[in-house]
Amino acid sequence: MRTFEISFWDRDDPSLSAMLDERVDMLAGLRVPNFAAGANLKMTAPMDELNRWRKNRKHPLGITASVAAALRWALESDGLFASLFDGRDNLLVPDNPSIGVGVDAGNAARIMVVSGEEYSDPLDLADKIEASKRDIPTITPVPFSPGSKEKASNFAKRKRWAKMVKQELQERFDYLLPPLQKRRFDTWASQRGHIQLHNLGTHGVQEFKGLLRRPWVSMLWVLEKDEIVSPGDSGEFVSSPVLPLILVYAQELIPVDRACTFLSKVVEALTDPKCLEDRR
Amino acid sequence: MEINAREYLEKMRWRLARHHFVNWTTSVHTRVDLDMTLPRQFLSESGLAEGDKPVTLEHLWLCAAARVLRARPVFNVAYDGLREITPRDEIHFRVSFNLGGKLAWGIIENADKLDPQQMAEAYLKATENVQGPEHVQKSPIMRKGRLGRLLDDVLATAVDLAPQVEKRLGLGPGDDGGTFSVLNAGAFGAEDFHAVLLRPAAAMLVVLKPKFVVQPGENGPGLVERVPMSVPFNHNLMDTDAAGYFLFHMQQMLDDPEHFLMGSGEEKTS
Repeated sequence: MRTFEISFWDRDDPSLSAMLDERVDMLAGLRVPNFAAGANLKMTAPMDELNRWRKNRKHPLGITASVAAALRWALESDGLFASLFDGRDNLLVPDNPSIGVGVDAGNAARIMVVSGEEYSDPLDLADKIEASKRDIPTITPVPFSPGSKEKASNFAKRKRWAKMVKQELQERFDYLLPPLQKRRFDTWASQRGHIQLHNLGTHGVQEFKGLLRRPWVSMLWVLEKDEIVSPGDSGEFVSSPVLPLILVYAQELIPVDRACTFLSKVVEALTDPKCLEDRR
Repeated sequence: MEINAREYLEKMRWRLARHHFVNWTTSVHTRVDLDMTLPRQFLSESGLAEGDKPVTLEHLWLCAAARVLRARPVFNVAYDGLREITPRDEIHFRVSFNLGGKLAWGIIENADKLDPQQMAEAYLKATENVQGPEHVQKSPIMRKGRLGRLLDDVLATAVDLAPQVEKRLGLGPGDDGGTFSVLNAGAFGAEDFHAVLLRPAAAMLVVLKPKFVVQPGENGPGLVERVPMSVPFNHNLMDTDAAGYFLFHMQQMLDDPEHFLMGSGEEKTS
């Protein structure tokens, strides 16, 4: 077993700094003004019909792909949830949203983005996700390195600081230069999707509270399936599986009733997945 | 559904202003699934559920929440987020309604002085004068245009770094109305909900979708009706367990409505 000393975790350590630098655009945006006021809404969908349907299809679907189809179906009735928003004046509602899906890549998740042009309807999207997820390259675990104990030079530190400040200012004040904001929105949609779906159930996650970074307006998280016990027809208690869903959405932009209606639509599609086929 | 982004943003303008990041509070999510067995039994035995204006469980928990607020006034204060707390003698509920699937807010004044029957009447009356979710009673300043936004951002950053300058700059968080908000998100199907609490509110009550859980009983397992509730509160003001006590106190009152909720209940808060 490898062990390491926690004291090696020094921000000035060049190897650790290099790891952080790869995520500098994320780190710079982790200031409160760059977040949306993310409310977390939970509903559960019964799974009996869903399990039968997805396994009996010609091309069986996994949970993630099925939920992606339901999400896309719900977006047809309310596209606001896949829009990009700068927090005040710029709201971009795409006709054909790109969907980002977190796919298990062995040791961590990779984000697979299916652009709006790549699919024709929700089931097509689900089939594409199902087919492509097998091709996702596995992330090989990087053995932990205890660090070099070398200190970064002052120049390297200053360079890093300048890069962070530039990112931060860009993210906070890009409304002053609309082309810059448009480029940011476009890059965001192509690299991360207009909306993202993550299935934490594959790791057995039962509870979750998410934050929301601008310009996203919402994200959907799937948790591990649960069981509810209720009285059956002949009086005995029966257990049935349900799928918990968490919608993290921008509370400043979307009232709670609209969020509930949207998540109910996702639940409706999962409760009776045939509606996705009727749509064709 | 076709969405006109410009129109929608214009409609939500003041709500967006209320949600500026300097108005968010640090709140902890505490949820308790309140047992509704005894309050439901009380409703059927007292005959209140059959009157001209029938009393429901919702009216009972509104009464209970109002009386708990009287016993725990810190949940009802206006708080500037830093060092100024303004106690409020009156308890005016800002209550959510589900009107045909749409959220609307109404005000129930002096909620702590109402018994369940009066609460049912006040609740019905409040539905006659409701506002949509975009409504804000008093909005913070929000300037138009890119330069206006820049000025707002600079001022908000100044307030973020030195909150004491807020008043001197003539700024403020605005107000949603009422002294305490009660959101029945369960009426829209929410099974759990973490809301973002905004200044000057110290807390709010969120009611979720009722559920039935199997519990052991005298004659074997049976179903028990529970209504999950949570109280997001400003963590600057109270300790982590404050919401737990609030909800525990509500359960005590709901378990004995005859004693705690009938009459004006001036002295019966414990």
